[in-house]
Parts: sequence; C-alpha cells; structure tokens
Amino acid sequence: MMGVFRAAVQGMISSRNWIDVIGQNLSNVDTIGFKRTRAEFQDLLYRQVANSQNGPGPLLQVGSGSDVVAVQNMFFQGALADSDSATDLAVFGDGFFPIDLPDGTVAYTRNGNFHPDVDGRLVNPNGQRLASALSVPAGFETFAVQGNGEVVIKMPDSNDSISVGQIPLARFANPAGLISSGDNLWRATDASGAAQIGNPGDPGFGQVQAGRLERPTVQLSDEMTQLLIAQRSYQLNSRALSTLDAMIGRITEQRP
Amino acid sequence: MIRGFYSAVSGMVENLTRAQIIANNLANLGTVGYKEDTNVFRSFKSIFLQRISPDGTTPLARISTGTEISPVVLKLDQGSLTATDNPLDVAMTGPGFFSIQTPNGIAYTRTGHLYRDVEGQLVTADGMHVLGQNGPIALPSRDVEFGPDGSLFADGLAFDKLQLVEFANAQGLKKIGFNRYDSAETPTQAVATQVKGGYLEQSNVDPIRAMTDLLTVQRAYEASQFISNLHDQMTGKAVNEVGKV
Repeated sequence: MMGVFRAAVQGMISSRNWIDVIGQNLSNVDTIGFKRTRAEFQDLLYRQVANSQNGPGPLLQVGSGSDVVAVQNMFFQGALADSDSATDLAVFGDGFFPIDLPDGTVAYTRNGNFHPDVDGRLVNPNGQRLASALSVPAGFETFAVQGNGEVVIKMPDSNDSISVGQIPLARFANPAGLISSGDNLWRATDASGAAQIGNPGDPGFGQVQAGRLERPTVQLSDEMTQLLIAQRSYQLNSRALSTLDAMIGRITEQRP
Repeated sequence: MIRGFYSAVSGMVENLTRAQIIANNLANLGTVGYKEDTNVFRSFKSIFLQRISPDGTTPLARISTGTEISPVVLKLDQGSLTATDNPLDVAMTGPGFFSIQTPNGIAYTRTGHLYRDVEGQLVTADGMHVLGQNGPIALPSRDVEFGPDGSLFADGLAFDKLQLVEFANAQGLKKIGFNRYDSAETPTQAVATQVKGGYLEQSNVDPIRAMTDLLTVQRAYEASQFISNLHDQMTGKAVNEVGKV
C-alpha cells in the first residue's frame, strides 16, 4: 500500500539531492580551482499492475520515481586570473597537483594557492604539502616555473637563476570518476583509475603557470536557473504526494 | 450483486493508479532522455438493462460496469535540447535510440550523459557499455566529437559509429528502469535520427499538464468514492429500513 507514495517520495528525494548539488556549486562560486558538479538522474524499476480484463497483452506498468545515478564533476578549464603571489600556481590542461596528506595518502587538487612553509616546501592554505621534493629557500627574489615544471628562482645576492626542483602533475583515465573529499581535494577511485604522475608539458598533462590562480567554473546564472527548476520539481512532487495522501485518506475515512 | 458499487470502486482503483503514473512522470522531470507515460481510460464491456414482460424481454439501455485504465502509452515527443559544452554529452533528435550492453542483454536508451571509463570505453552513468559497430566503443581520449549520423571523430578522423536503432512499433518498447528500454522487436538501423554532441535531451514531461491531470484524476476519484458511499447508504436502507412497520 505504501507503494502508492513511492514515486512521489522518490521524486522529492531526488529533487532535494538536485538542490543540494546546486547549493554546493553556488557556495563555491569563489573557490579557487573548484569544478562544478552536475546531478544526473535515472528512472527506477517499474511494477506491473494487474489488468483485469485484457489478459495477456500490452502491460500496464507503474514506475517508482527517480534517483540520482551520478554526480559528475565537470572538468572544464577555469579561467586563469593573475594573483599577487608568485608562488600561486595554476594548471592549464588536464593535470592535478598531487598533495601529500598527513595520514600518508595522496589527494589531488586544482587549487594552486601554494606558499613555502618553514622548510621551503610548497603547502596549500591548510598546510598540506605538494607531493614533491621541491624546496624553495626563504627570501628569494623571483620565482618562475619552466614549461616542464622546473622551478627556477633567483636570490637577491646573485645574478644566476637556480633550479630548486620540479612541480609534478597527476592525470586520470576517467577524471569524472574522482571522488571529492572536501577542502577542494579529490581522491582516486576504481572508477577514475590510479593517478599517472608526470611533468607539466608531457602530453595530456597540461602546463603550470606561476603567479596565477584558476577561477571556479561555476556560472552563477546557470546555477540559479537550475535551482529554480529543481525547486519547482520538489514542489510538484510534494504536491503529488499530498494529492495521493488525500486520495488514500478518503478510503480510511469512509464510514459505514 | 450491487452493480453500481462495483463500477464506482473500479473508478477509484483506476484513478489511483493513474495518479501514481502521473507522480512517476513528475518524479522524472529532471531525468535526461525520459519519456512521459500517458494513458486513457476506457469502460468495461457494457451490458443491456432489460425489462422482463409477459412478451419476453425488451432492451432498455446500455450501461457500463466500470472503467479500466488502458495500457501505458509512451509519449515519444522530442524533449528539448540544452547545450552543456561537455564533449561526452549526446542528444538525439528523431525517433531513434542507442544500444547499450547490460548484464541482461542489449537494451536501448536516449539518456546521453556518457563517460569514458578507466579502460577508455564509452559507458553510461551506471557503467554500461555503449555499443558501436563492433561492440563497445574505445575512445582514444575524452575529446571526441559526434557526427550527425552517430559517427565518432578524434582529431578529425572517424574511428567508430554509435549503433543507433529505430523501431517500427515504438509503443512495443517496455521501460525497465535505469533509463533503459527493452523491446521484443528487432530494431532496424536508424535513418531518421540525428545525433548532437555537447547537448542533452531533457525529459519531455510537461509539468503543467501533469499537474492539471493530477487534479482531474483526484476529483474523478472523489466522485467515484462519493457514488460508492451512496450505494452503501442505499444498501443500508434496504437492509435495515425496508419492511419496517
């Protein structure tokens, strides 16, 4: 009997998830390196309703609503904006910065908002290190990244540029399969495949540019339009639920 | 026994089913490639009311014994296309479907948000292989283009073609959930279907019509329920009051 409400309830649940995904995009409208996500839906199993008079023949099927089948990360290139800090990095292409996490695992990000820590290692605003032996001495005058990811700096007391290490990049067979783990980090999954580590400039990895940051790919107007549709969808489904409830209610209220 | 009671109740049952079908359509407003289920009512076989007189029986009028919902009719109208800029989004215009390989055999779909999986093959969002001319399609990279006839291009060179099909009797298609259709009929190669990469075909559910249908169904249900109540009261009178002195 509760099957009566199934489609409407599933419709409300998937509309709510839809709104959640849009909300996440909207709240990251200013997050460096953020990639917008998209909810994708599927219809659910159909059950056959007894069709008394027809006997065998075309079926009368009633569906059970819809569900989110995937939330796809849309890996489009974001616009590269100039930043104030020379150690800010941006990827132009498909690569990700690998980040060493304190628990020994590796996560991946497009957020190149790095600065050198006390040891000269490049860290993100959360203090997590770029997975590289690169060490930048304190007090450098210029900081540049070569086409192959080699970092070249110049000290104030010298005329020569020196190479201090290499910026690595990671890429994936199926980036859409990466799973977001918060803080602008992604983790590899079976669906994404393991990370292939390479250098900027290698085929398919993209370029790294210093002194720039990648803007998020969220388009405010698109998201607001989607939000309107998702919200109406929620309302329509909740209206369907209350209508079905009123219909069922009349049975139980039937008095002898 | 109480003829009118049964026909009123059949009206309730069928309207409740119809309301659930509408609710399912509304739940799939955001489902890419979804096709609306519609249906119409029809009456059961009608019977003659007859008067029995000494000369035999004379027909008086036909009356219906109730309603029955007809099998679901797929509304196969084209859904609107929206641009997404994503190279692996595919929309179709025309009556066709693309073929996918599922664990239970080949199924058909119009849902075009596709992925390149770890092995580099073209798959649906739930990981089913999309079929080309020689089975699953291997993509050299994510940057592929679709030609109008379903051909796939990488760097300007065609390397495979989607297996697009059309059905002589599209109403014979059966929805099996997960955006898939099953068909008993062997489909033919698509001729009137065009493919557009970077677009998605939205659900063809019309929310305004669905909402007004839902209201109609609700009122029809209430009317049937009212009639069934009347019959109940009439029977109550016959049982308890007829014959009282």
